[in-house]
Amino acid sequence: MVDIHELAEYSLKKASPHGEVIIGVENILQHQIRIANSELELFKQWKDINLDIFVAIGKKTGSTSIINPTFEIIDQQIPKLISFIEGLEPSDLFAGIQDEPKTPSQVEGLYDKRMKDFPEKAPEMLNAAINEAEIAGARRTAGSMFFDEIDTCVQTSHGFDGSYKTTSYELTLRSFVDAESSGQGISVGRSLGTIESDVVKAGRESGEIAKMAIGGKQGKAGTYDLVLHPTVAASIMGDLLGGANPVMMLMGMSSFNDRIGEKLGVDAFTVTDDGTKANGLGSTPFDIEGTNTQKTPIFDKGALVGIVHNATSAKMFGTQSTGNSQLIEFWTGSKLLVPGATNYVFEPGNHSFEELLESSKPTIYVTSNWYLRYTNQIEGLFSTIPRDGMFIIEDGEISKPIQKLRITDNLLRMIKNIEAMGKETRQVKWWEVETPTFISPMRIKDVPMTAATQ
Amino acid sequence: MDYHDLVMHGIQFGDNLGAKYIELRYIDAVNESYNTTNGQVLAAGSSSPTGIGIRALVNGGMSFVSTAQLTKKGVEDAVSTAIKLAKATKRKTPIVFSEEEVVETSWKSPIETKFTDVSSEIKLNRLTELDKELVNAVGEGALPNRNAFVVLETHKKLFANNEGTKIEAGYSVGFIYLMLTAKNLDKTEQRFIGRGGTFGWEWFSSPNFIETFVEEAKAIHTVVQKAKARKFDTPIDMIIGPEVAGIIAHENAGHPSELDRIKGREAAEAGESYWADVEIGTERTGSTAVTVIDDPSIPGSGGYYKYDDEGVKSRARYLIKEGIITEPLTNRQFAGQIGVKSNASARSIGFNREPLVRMANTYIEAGDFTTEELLEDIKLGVFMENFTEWNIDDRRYQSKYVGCAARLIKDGEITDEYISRPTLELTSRGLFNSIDASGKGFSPDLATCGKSNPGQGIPVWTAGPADGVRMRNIRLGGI
Repeated sequence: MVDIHELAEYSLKKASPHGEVIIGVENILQHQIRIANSELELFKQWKDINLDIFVAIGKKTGSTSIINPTFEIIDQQIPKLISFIEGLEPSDLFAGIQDEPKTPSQVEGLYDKRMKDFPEKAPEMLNAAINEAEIAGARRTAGSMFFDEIDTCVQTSHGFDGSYKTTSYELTLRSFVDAESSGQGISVGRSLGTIESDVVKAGRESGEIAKMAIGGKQGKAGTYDLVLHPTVAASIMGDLLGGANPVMMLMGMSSFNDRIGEKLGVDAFTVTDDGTKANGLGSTPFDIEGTNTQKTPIFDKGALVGIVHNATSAKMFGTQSTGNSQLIEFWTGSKLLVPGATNYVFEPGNHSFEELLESSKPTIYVTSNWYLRYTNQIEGLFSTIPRDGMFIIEDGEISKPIQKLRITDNLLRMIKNIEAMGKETRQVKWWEVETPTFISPMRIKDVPMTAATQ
Repeated sequence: MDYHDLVMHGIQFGDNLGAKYIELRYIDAVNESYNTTNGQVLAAGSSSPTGIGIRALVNGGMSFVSTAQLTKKGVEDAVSTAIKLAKATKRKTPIVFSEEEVVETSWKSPIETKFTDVSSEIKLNRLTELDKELVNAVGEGALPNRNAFVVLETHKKLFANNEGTKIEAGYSVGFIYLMLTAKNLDKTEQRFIGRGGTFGWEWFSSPNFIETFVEEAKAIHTVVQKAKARKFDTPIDMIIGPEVAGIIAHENAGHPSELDRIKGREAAEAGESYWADVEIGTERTGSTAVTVIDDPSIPGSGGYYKYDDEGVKSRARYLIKEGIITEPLTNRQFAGQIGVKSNASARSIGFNREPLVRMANTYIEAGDFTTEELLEDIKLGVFMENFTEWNIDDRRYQSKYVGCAARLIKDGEITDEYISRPTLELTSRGLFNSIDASGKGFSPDLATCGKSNPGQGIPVWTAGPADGVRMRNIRLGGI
């Protein structure tokens, strides 16, 4: 196997005579186990070196990615990339990469050496989680667990040279008692310190919710207060926060255009983009341009106080990069060099879960959701569909399961209607939550819930 | 070793290690993409992912491993790992594939101009030209956000398995997504439009390429200026355009027809299907006017293929025929589970992704009516030409479609009164039972269908009759 530092150095040497260059190399060992009908359905492995090369010739930019590169392949691909870029028009949307890199910082807790042995242990651990879900009431389970170990090296033509190692795991486990009585548990992290108990706990939670969901009837459309499980809160609030990004604003995919400095949410709404968060799946020491990651306040007591930047967007906004530069794949072929979120970290409240349920108004507890789409992203008009256990709350307690309602609201209205935040925060990332999010359950008032008319 | 020899060696190697079934799928791809925002380049690039995907079945357990190390040792290592991982699943219920015909053949998608023969300069110029024409059509301030994403893929593929099937394929797929925001005073409307198919650069360079999108820009410009909310106190009749019919065919019929969903394979994330509760072959889910087909065998279509990624020959599948649920989409694994033959639905987006049960080109079959005939007896209704927001629950039963360009129908005529964001919030049965007539013609849109994890966004066509589809007695709204 070729050393990733040598590959980075070689690529940089070949490309840098042509302009500004970013080289990102990852040596990845990733596994996935899929579960269906309470059995391990498929065991997968990816063992690759991924090389990303981004080149800017003046204001003309382009990228290529090579899987398992050799020096010979790099020799072939870089001239092709340069020729490709030379054919493009200069873009006003590029203003240079980080040209004053600092010494790479260190972030603790990104790597756990126990991952080396984990592929051998994972099947048994997942069977224990399946078993726990069944003890809690599940008749069958489905799931997916990823686990990986990645060495990353970043070098730029402005002299940055940094590397780091990470490990991570992501488990989603879903339990079913019958087709319409289901529950979900997730467990994610970088450290394997408590993984055995965490995985089993996810199994138990999914089984318990599924059992509570038995016999759910069609819910009645109307306006309710909602208590959102952290999984749901992360999905809905994370989608809104994705707009705290200059590129999303430029593309019309943000509800925050020209609103920096405005108080948009309640006092309890305080959120940071934190690329240094311990155990955070989005944490790294530095970004793809070599800017050290940091804590960037996005909302402070309901006021939109910041957005994430890379070097280009920072120059355009007359500010400093926040260490959020990423090469993000869109479809296939190229990658966008744009700011991207790391981990969203919500300030917890001081309410216990039981206190969140206390209300004199009609209230629904939503444990999971999927398929969030917008009628208009600038306005924040959206809907998403609760799935798994959804429950009517009466007299401060979960009273009965319901089904088949849709959350149909406005994200900007919802952050004005947050009534209370829970005090227990957990990290959420799964199919519907792209950015790792540390968030507690929350209570939101007056949310329209719609249903099929026929 | 060339790639033929590597693939055949890998199969022999896996056979010797005890694989009951082993397949190797070599792909050499050239993928390009371009993204402009308001006519300026935001991203452009080209990559050539090349490698081999391997699936092995051992002791009833299955594995998937990919490698881009195209050497004898690289392939042997990957095959050995695949055998080991398949054994580690220790399944109680063995996976058994359906028996299929052994095929040795090759196929190509027809193209005139290869993407790789056209320079990046010409490709990008076409996008900037498009942006200028959009602005010329309605004015820059009227369309403040114009995002274009173009993807051009060229694939060379060799599939072989230890049953003797060996298929070489070459195809190109190109598509564009345009995301527009139209503005009038402080009001905005947004729309996402997809077009494309398995063809070469000739489609992008044709005059129609720009004209189509200019018409779309004019249409959304009109919507943001004219559309007003209107409440209907009673159920109304509707005509939906082919774009709406296509997304309905995809979401309410195509996804629930996937047999891996029905059998719980995707239950953790992509979900299951309401078809799990129905008697396939006899149970009605819509009126006799509803026939939904998924057909990969349409040359030039977004989801075109002659043989799927398990080596099975493609054909049209009647998912719903005259209102009756008739045929689920399946691969060999799930066909084997229910004792039928595969209907060639296995697709993968690249060498490092497993083949899954996927749609190709899903559409509501055309009928005999012109738009005028569909309109004839509608006293009060809405013509919903296209849509903005949509979603559906993970059993593919509770769906929602919000109209973008929508006009009032009065006394058999489409009026000039634009209705703001009419909402269809219907169950799949409620929706398909409301359809009483289908128009003539065929009009496709290109979509990227998402499924599984890691996600595999795959190009498909969603389509419907060009003259529209009529729905009766619809209560709009939701609440």
